[in-house]
Amino acid sequence: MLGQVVLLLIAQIMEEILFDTALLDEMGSKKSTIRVLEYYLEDSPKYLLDLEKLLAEKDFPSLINKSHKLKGSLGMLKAELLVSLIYQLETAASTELNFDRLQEILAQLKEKLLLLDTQLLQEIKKIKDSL
Amino acid sequence: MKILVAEDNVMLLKTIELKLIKEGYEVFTTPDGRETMKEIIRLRPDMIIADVMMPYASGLEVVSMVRQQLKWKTPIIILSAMEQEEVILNAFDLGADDYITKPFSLNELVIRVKRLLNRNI
Repeated sequence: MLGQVVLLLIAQIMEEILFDTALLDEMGSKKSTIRVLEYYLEDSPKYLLDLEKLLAEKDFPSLINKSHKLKGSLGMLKAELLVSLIYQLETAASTELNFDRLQEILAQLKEKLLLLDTQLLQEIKKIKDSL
Repeated sequence: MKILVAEDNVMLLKTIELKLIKEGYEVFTTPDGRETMKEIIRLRPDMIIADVMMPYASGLEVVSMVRQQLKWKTPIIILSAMEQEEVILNAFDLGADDYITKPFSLNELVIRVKRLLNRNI
């Protein structure tokens, strides 16, 4: 069972690389890229928890604000798919579309954020191995 | 050359900080607008790079304080998102020198920093 889950995870990772470190590589140091990726990984779960809490509280202005901040990080990671989901979330929250739709978008975002975290951990390992 | 970078997104803040340090600048960072205003007076930086949306005081309020209260000509670059055109116009009205929209190339940011610093020598 665990093996199947791992295989599924690997298959997902192989299929869909969600980021590109091109912008971060402009720092000119692999160690700097690792540090910044680690900062992202430290912050990312907090963003997700905040988004879930704000949606549950129906605090749409704060939800838009928090989404906007997360979008800044995802943009620097060139995580286009996730940026597009954030746009959808912001738009839905600003027009106060139906609550089910917002939950649906946030669920998709959560799934992809978790996948991104896994991929970034792999990337950090890859860069460390190359040093 | 001292550069103060004000940004509440830790990842972005560290990215800019590491790049500017590599370019040889002395970099100071602040996580919100209120702290930024204090540090501007304490450090008297050669340049300020400030995000528009920060807690306690926005990047626009920072520009306003530097230009209208302190009457300093310190170069200021504003960091903004793509959809904030109106905010960028306000920033220029208040006296910001340049802006860059997120996500941005760090190399482009450095070019803008150098250009503004050279202009003010």
